[in-house]
Amino acid sequence: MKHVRIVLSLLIVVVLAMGGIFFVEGYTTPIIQERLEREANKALYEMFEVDPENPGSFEVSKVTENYPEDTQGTVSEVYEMRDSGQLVGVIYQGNTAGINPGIIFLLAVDSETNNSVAVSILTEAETAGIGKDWLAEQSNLDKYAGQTMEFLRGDSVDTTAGVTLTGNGLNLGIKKALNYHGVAFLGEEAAETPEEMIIRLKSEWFGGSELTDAGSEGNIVEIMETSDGGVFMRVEWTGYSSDPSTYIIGFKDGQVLGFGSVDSTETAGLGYDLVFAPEFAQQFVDQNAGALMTNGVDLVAGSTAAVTLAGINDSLIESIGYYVVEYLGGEAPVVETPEMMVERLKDEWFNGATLTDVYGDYDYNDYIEEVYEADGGYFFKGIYVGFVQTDISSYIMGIKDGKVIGFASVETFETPGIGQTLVEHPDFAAQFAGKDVSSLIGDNGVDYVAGSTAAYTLDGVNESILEVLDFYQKQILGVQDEEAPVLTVNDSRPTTFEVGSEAPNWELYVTGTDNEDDVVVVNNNADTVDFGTAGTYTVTFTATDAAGNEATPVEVVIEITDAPVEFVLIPVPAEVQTVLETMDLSTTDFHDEGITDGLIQGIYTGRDAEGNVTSVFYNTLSSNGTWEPDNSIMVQFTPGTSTIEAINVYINFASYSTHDFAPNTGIGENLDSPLIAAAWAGVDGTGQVTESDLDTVSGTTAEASFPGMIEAIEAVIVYQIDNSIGGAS
Amino acid sequence: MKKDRSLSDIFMAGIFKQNPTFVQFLGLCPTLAVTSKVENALGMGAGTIFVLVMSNLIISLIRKHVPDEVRIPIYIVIIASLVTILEMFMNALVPDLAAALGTFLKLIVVNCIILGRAEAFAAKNGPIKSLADGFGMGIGFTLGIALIALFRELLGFGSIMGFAIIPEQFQLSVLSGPAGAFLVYGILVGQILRIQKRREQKQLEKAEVTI
Repeated sequence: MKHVRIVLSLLIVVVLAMGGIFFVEGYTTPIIQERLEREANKALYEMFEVDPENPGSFEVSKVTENYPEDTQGTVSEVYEMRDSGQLVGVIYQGNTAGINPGIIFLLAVDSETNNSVAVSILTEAETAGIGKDWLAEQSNLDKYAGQTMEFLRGDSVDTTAGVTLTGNGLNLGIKKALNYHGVAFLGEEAAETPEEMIIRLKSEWFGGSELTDAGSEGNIVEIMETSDGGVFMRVEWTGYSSDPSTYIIGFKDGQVLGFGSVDSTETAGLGYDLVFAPEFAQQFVDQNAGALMTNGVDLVAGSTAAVTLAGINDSLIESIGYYVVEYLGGEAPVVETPEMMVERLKDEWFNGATLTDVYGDYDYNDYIEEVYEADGGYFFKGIYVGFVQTDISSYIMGIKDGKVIGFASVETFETPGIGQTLVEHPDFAAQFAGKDVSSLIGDNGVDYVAGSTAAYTLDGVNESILEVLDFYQKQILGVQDEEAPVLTVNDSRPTTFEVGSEAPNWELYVTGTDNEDDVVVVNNNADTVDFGTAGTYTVTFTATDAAGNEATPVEVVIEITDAPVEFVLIPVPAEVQTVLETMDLSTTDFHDEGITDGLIQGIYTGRDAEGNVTSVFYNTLSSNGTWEPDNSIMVQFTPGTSTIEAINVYINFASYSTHDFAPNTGIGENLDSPLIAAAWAGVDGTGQVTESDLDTVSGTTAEASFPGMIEAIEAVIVYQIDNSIGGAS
Repeated sequence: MKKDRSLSDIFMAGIFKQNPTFVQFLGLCPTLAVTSKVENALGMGAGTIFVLVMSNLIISLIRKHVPDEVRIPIYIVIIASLVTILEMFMNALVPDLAAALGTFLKLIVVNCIILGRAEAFAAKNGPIKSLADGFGMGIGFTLGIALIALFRELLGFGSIMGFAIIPEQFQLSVLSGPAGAFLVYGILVGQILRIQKRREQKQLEKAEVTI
C-alpha cells in the first residue's frame, strides 16, 4: 500500500507538472513564433534595403510550397521579393552549424544576376564573445553581399582568425543554400544524395554483383558481401564532433576498392572538407587492407583537421581489421601497448639485465617519474607538458657511460598530427641515439624533425629532457658546476654626475652570465655613492651562482662633480636598433635614454646630425597574459608631445618579426581605446593629448581585444604627457 | 512555549535576519555570476521570487499528502516545472533579459534557496506563511544581488542601469569580472558582519545595564 501511495504521488505530480508546462507552452509558443516571424519579416525587407514599415511597391511573400524540398536539409523556407509585382530577389531561410548547431540564416539572392544581396542571422547559439559577436557584427555579414554564386560556392569569404568554426559554418550553409538556388531556381541538376551515392559506389565497386546482408559489428552498422568475396561496409565514426559521421568502404581480394564519406558532422571548413575531399578518398583506392590499417591515411593538401583524421584512422583500424580477420582469415594485428613497448625497450637497451629502482637514492625531480639502474646504465621515465597543459605526457630514455642509448615516447596527449607526430616520429628519437649527454645539454636539447612545427611540444619535451640529462650528470655522475658567473661592465653608461643628480639604474651598469643559471643576480654597494657630495666613489658589483661559485667582482668608478656634466648619448642595443629600423625611419641615430618604468622597458630617441631629438620611442610590454612575454610594443611620439606617430607591435620579440598590425592604420578599429585614439589623432585641435584631455575622454576599451596591450600603450601616453621626452629641456 | 511568528516577522526575516545572500550564503552561483549589471540582477531576482513563491505555495499545499520517502524528488519536479514555465514566459515576453541571464535562468532549478525553503519552511508551514516566507526570501535575495550588482556596475562599468556615471579612466574594470564579484561580495559580507556584531555588542551592553 505504501509503495502504491509513493508511485501514485510521483505520478500525479509529474502529470500535473507536464500539464502545466504544456498549458504554458501553448500560450507562449505563438508569442515566440510571432516575434520570430516579425523579426524575420523585418529582416526580409531590410536585406533589400526596404523599410519594413513602409515597403511601398515592394512585397515579400512566402513561397516555400512552390519550391522543391531541399535534399541537403539546409533550406527550410523560401521567400520572394517583388517590386510592383516584378520578381527582384529570392530569399532562402537555411540552417547550419558553427561551433554549435542552430545558426538560422537568411540569404537573399538577386533573381537577375544571381549574386548574393545580403545575409542576415535570425537565431544562433554560438559562443558569447566569440562566434556570437562575429555574427552580430554587420560588417562581417556584409562580406557576403554582392558576391557571385561561383565565389560563394567556391572559396567564399575569408573567415576571421579565432572564429573559424562559426565563419566556416556560415560559409557552408550559404554554399548549400546557393546549391539549392541552383537546382530550384536555375534548373541545375540536383547534387547526388547520399543514398544515390551509395548505390552508385556499390555498382562501381562490385560491378553489379548482388550484395547480401551480413549483419553488423560495433560501429560497422552495415556489412554486405558478394558471392565472389567482395565486402561492403557502412561505418559510423567520430572525430572532433561527438555526433557520429558515416563512411562506406569496399573490399575485395585483400584490397580496398574505394571509400566514400556519406555524411559528416565534422567542422565545416576543416574536418568536413577533409573527409569529402576527392583526394582523401583517393588515398584508399587499391590499397592493401592490412597496410592501410597499419599506416592509416594522411591529411590532404591544405587540410589541418588533425582530430578528424585521428578519428577516421581509428575507425579504419576497426573496419579494416574486421575485414582482415573475418574475410582474409588473418590474425588481428597485435598493437603494442605503451607498457609492452617500455618492457621491450628495457630489454633492448640493457640486454635483458635486471633493472633496479634507484630513484630513492637521489633527490626527487618534478620531471622524472622513474629511475632504474642496470649494469651501470640508467633508465629514466620522464614527463612533460607541451601544448596540452591539462594532461601529462611521458617518455623513456636510456643512458649509459655518458651516452644516450635511446628515447621513446610512451604516452602523449599532444595534438594528433602535430605535437604527437613530432614526439612519435622515428627521426625525433634518432636524434638521441648515441649522443653524449653533455653535447645534448650544450645543444639545449634536440630539434624539430622534417615537416614538424610543434613548437610548444618541442619546448616542453626539451625542458623535461634537459632535466633528465642534468639529473644524470649531477646526481648520478656527480658532476658539479664549478664555473663562476662572469660580470660584464656596460661601458656606455654615464659615470660622471652633477651634484644633486638622481641615482641611475645600476642594473644597467653590469650584467652577469652563467653557464648554468639563466638569471644571475648582480649585487652592488652603490648606496655608498653620495650624490649630494662631490667626490670619486667606487661601486663594486658582485654575483654568486646557484652552485655557490662567486664571480670576480668588477668596479665602476663614479665621479660626482660640481661642474656641469655634458649629456652623454648612449647607443641603443643592437637588437633594438634592428627593431627601430623596421619602422622605416629617416633617422638612424638612435639613443637609449636609460629609462625603465613599470611596463616601459626602454625609451629611445632618434637624433639628427646636430643631436636634436627627431623622434621618441617607447618600448613596452603588455600588462597581462594575453601576449607572450617576448612580445613588445613600440610607440613613437612626436618629440616633446604626446601625439603618437606610429605604433608597431612585435610578436616574439627575440626574432623581431614584425606583426602586420597598424602602423598608421586601423587604430580606431584595432586599438579600441579612446585615449589611444585621441593621442593618435590629437584632441581639441592641439595635436596632442594633455592631462585635461584625459578627463574628457570617455568610452569603453576593447576588453576582448588585447586589453593588456591597450593598458601598456596608455601607460606610455601618460608617461609621455608627464615627462615630455624629446622636448626642450 | 514557542511564540508563533507573525507574517511580517516571517517576511522581514528573509530580507534582514536570514537574508539568503549575506547571512545564509545560499544561491552563491547566481550571486556571483549575474551581478555584473543591476538589470540582470533584478531580472534574476524577479525570476527567483516567482519560483520561490510558487514552489513554497504548492509545496505547503500538498505537504500533508507527500510521502516522506519521495518528498525531495517531488519538490524537484515542482521546482523544475516552475523554472521551465518561467523560462517560457521570459522567452516570450522579455527575450532580451532571458538571453542575458542565459544558463543561469535554467540553473534556478538548483538554486539551494528554493529547495532549502521548500524543505525547511514550506514543508512544515501553511500556505499563507509559506507565501510570506517565499516573498521575504525572494526579495532578500533580490536586494542582496542587486546591491552587489550596484557596486560592480557603478565601479566596474561606470554606469547604473546603462546610464554612464563614472568616466572610463576612473573605473575599476576588475570589478566587472569574476574576481570582482568575489571581491565585492567579500567586502559587503565583511561590512554586514561588522554591523551585526556591533549591534549584538550593543544589545549585550544594554542587557548588562538592565541586569
